Amino acid sequence: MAARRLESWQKVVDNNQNKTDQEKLEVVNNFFNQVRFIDDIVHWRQKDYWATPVELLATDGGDCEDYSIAKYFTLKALGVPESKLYITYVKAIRLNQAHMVLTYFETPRSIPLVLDNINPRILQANKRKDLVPIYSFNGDGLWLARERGRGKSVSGGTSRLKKWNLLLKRLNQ
Amino acid sequence: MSLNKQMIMFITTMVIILLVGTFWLNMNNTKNFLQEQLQSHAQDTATSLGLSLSSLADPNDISSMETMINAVFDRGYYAHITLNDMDNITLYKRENTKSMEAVPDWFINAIQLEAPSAQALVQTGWIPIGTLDIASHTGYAYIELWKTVRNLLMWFSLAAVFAILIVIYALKIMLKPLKDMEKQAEAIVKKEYLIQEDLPTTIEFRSVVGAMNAMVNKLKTVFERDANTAEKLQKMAYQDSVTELSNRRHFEMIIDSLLDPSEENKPGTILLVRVNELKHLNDQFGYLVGDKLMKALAQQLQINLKHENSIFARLNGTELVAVIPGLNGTLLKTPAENIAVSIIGILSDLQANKADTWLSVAYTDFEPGQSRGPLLANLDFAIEQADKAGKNEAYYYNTNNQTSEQSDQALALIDQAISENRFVLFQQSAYATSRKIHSQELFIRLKDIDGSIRSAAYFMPAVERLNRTQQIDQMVIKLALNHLQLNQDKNLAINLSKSIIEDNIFQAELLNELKNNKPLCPQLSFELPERLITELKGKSWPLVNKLKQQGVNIGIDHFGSRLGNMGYLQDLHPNYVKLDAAFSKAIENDQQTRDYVSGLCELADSLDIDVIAMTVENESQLKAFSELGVKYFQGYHFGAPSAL
Repeated sequence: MAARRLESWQKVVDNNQNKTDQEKLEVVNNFFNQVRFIDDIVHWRQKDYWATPVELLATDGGDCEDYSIAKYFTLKALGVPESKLYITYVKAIRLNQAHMVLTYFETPRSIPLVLDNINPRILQANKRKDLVPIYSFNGDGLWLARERGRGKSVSGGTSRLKKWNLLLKRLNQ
Repeated sequence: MSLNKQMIMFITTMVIILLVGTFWLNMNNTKNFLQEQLQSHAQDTATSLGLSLSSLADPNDISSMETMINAVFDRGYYAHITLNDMDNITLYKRENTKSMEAVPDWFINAIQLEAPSAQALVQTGWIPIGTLDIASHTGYAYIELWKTVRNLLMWFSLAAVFAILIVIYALKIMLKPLKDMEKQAEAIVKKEYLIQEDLPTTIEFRSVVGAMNAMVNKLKTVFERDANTAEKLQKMAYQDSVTELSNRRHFEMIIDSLLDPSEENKPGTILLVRVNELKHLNDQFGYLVGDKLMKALAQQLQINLKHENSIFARLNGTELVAVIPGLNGTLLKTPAENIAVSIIGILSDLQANKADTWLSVAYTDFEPGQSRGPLLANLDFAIEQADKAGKNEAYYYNTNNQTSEQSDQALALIDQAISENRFVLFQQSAYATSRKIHSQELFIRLKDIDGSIRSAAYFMPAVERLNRTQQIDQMVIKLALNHLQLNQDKNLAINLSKSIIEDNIFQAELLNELKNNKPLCPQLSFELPERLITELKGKSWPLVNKLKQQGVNIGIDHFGSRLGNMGYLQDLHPNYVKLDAAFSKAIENDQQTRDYVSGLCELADSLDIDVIAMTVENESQLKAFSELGVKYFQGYHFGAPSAL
């Protein structure tokens, strides 16, 4: 099963290279929203564990930041410009808990589209009254900061995301 | 370059490379650490400031944003904080361009610390309204780095200096045995036998030193064996086994050379002791008692006639003889009478008072130019007179009544000559087989008022009586040094007399004179008679060593004439020896003399000491000496002494 999920992820990346950004967002959002939502404390036996996309798919389980990260890197692999993608910390009002979504900016000043796992539909941010935006980060930098926080030796800069870039390269083939 | 220096250089280089490498690594680590600190500092500020700015309700409230940025900027240490809008147009910027005063410019130029800028978003609701760009100021990092570098440099320099000092000191100690071995090896080359008593602790050095010591011991043994052989040959050839005085052969050799008019000889006295009725003693008390009597008489002779250059011999079973060069017979009255009556005491010591044995003592003068025959005839005549005078009587046969009268006159003349400095140097050269000059022996000559040249035999007795030998010696040394200053390539040999050995002031003057003429010293040789070397060892050896230190050569004159051990050669180690003239008379015909001289040559040769044969007067003597291994010769065969 895990292998099949990884294979279909590969297909998603391979088959959607020439689509519009909008279509890519749809495909990726839908693909990852199939994954079961499991709380970190249950899934990884630790609080706030950031899984890689591979871990997410292989275990068929994750929580909000895992979805956002996986979607972010997959869209990057599909050629969506980094500058248009942000990982945004939000507050889910109804659930009254900290949450994370991936946002897509058509232009720097436009209202972003929200890729969420609670609401699987891609909506404009102003339609998501259930979410209060707190702060946004560039995806690469945030991932690196997290990894460093976990005690791994990671030197800064996108170019130094070697493993990720290798993985993305493989996905592109 | 010496091993010591090479090792010091090698180890020092290694230490420095090691320290420089460690220093570089340390500095780089600090640098990298500071660099990362700078970046994370910038990033943290960017994030928290971005978050704060995003919480403002009004996106157009630039003044609030400026205030917040100012607050952060002023409290921290930043190169710049820039707020750009989404089109990258700067909305607000604070900058710190101040350079660091505490850190020298060259250091900043040499070490490039980068402060990468960090970015963060500023947003209102979902929409980003700008980006923050923040870079930390490198100044603080430079100050830290500069402090670190200075500390490291100080400690590493100290460590390097300390390490190098230890290396130099340790090597000095470790390589000391090598230095000692070098000295030992050099000593072996010079035929000096040095033993290293303290074996080094380093195993390799220890075994080498052990081997060298063994070799030196071996060489020493070989030498000592040669010395013993020479001594044995000498005893066999020249010694009377009972009295341990010279035998007749030795006596004849010596008296002949003393009578030789061509040598620098002085007149002297010869004394004969005849034991009458020795047969009576032998028959009554046995030969052993007879031998004891002769031995005791020999001792009496030596005690009573103890004088510079005295020679004692046993002529035959009943006759002992003493030769005292440089002494007038008139001065021998008391000692001769003492000897004559000494037999009474000796006989009573031997408990042979009843023996009808008695002595006749006779003495007479001799002078160079006389023949041995007539001299011994004079002595026979004198002993008859003593016989006639009765038992245990001494008789003086005075053959030169006129000399004492002459000498008063001579004294005045010589005194005058000394004050007028009327002396010149003569020389006789010693030649190698190749006719190359070995050295020129100097003789002092007096220039008489009429211009005639007088030899030492003429004026030396008077000089001695005037106690002015020292003045003559000084004159010779002065003249020789003057001559050497004008003639660079010569080698001059000066005879030292007993006076210098006994006069400390004169010695000090001589050594001082040599010190002032240091470059000339290798061209100077000082010759001492063997008698002074063996009998006045306490005084002569220190002088010889001091002379050697000045770089002059040392020769031993009349070598082989004394009965005794030759082993001293090894310790004194002169540059050359001059064989006693007495050997020259016997070298052609006497096999025992030949054996002995041959032994002496081997002995000297094993120590690299030149042997010079003296008074070589004809080709056959030259040939005889050559056959025995002598390489240097001096004598009339090569020419009479001539003006220097």
